[in-house]
Amino acid sequence: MTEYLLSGFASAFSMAVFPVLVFGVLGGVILGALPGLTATMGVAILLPFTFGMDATPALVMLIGVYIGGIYGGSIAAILLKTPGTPASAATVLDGHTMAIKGLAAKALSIAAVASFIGGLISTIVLIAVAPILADFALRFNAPEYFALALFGLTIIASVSAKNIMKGLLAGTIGLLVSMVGLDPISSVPRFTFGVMDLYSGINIIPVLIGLFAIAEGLNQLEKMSSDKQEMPPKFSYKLLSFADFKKILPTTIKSGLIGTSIGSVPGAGADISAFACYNEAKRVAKNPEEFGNGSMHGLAAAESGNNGVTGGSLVPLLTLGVPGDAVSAVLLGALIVQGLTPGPLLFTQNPEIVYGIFSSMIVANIVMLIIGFLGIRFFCRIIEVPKILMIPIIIFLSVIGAYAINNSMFDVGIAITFGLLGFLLNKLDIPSSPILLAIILGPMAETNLRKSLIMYEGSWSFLYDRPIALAFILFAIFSVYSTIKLKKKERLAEKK
Amino acid sequence: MLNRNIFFPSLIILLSLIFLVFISQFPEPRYQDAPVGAGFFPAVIAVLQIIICSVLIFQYKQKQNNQQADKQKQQETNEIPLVSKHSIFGFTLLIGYAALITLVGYLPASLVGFTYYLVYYRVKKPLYYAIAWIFVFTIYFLFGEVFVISLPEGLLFF
Repeated sequence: MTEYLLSGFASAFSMAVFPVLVFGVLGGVILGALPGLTATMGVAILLPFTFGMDATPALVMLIGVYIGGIYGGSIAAILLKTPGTPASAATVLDGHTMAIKGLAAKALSIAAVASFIGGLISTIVLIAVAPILADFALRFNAPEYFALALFGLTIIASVSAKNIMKGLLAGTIGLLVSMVGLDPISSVPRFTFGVMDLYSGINIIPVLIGLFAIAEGLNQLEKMSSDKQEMPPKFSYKLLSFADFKKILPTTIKSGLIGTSIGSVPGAGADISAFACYNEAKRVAKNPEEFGNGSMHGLAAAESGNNGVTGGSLVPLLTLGVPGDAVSAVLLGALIVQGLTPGPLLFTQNPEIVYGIFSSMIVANIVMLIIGFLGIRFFCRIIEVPKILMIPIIIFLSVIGAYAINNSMFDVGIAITFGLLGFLLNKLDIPSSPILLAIILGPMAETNLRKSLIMYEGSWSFLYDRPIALAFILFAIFSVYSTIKLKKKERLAEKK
Repeated sequence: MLNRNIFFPSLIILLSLIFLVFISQFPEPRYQDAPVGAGFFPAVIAVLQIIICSVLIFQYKQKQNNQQADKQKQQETNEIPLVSKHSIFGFTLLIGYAALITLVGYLPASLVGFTYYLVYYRVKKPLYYAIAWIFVFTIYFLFGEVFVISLPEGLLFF
């Protein structure tokens, strides 16, 4: 294995592969930073370019785009409160607050370091325990997925800012939105009102663009004072210090490991992982009240958690030939185009390719860290752009991003609708993040609950019969309990 | 004047009741061993929504009754208008831009939209206009030529 890894490193640094890798990571960072263009879309866009390439550079470039794309989403999330990808929605909570406080450079450096550590841990775990993780992932059936989704939904309480009930209300709005379209079990149309575009449900990306980017654009427009030419406040270019690094390291490592585990479960992606890691970091934090107010730990947890998925999601793909998420599905296509069949045989028949991918992932993470740090000064200039120019740029980019997903004006309409909703919810102090979380987890929870009930002939015993499902149910109960306890503590502290 | 802390939850309760009526029209599962149908999950959520909104209204009323200071604070909050002149302009710009893009396509719509925005805010610096147009053309080039993602071409030009 070591021999193959070393040979993989030699290949990754060769003149034929390294420039392609750098191009892939850089392209991924740019794509990820643009609202609406996800890492999945980036990999899909660049896939046709790999048809004429050899297997190693082709796969390396796509993996570079994947890793860069997940990190790139955090740049717009931190600087503009417009997460480039759903995976960066949790980054907004603390990253943007840090930027507002004049700590944009520090926030970007934390995001780069945490993404690097998360990605690195994920790759190391992938190399070391891929077959074991694949076995764990194979044990997941409908009851386990339902329990996982239920556990994920408990995070709503944690990201609900001051009032849990308002967060829960936002969560139920998201759940109802996720019910639009054909029922996943019996194909009954629900809340479609005869509109054909609604039959396939509401796409998460326009919702994300609307709730965060458009709503933020409208908020900024409203805040704009009569002095339109007002220049933005000065901010510090100070990066993450070694003392800060030492502080966030345990959270980052833990989140990287959680992200890898979540990523290895087919169907659970970087968005779920980021929120789950954020929730866990807040639960164990000494100062949980800092979360949402510019906590370094919160930002590091979300970023390490979403990049931790990059290696994890390749576990079922490479070991079983099962794509765990949309990006892995595109990568599966890339492997097939190259004449490779993912699965257990890939490790024995083409070890140089498999370990080449592993080595390249480590190199891609290093390249991402370097690009992240080199780009900080450039990215920070975005904040210095006068608001009068930045607001229409956000709004126009959001409309184009929403259109670009499916070349559909219907998606633009969805983005605008959710933009208005996000704007109004903001006025009512109702958080938007639970809506997004519920839209991601709602279909997973419903489909798997109903499948489980069919499997168990109407009995709910699957909730305590199956160890993994039971473990997640217990985690969910514990998560709710600890959040309520935390909120009580916060209220008491406020009264004092 | 409508109190937003009462109005919004009440609106959600009303919508949830309407949803429950729709849900009751979903067909029941016909096949054996399917214990719950298409309406089960949405119905649970709609009922949850009604409960949550009722609690929110109750919480607000309780606060209002108990703390005079809070009441004053809430009244002050309610006095802040939900939408301002700027946000109304923002909605209009957004919807107008989406409509224009459908009709004339990305490039003309964005050039007109961005310029109109700058003119509306009486921006006099030519540099800002130049940046706006450069941005529009950069996006056009980036999406169309580099990423090969088609941008709206407009119904009028077909």
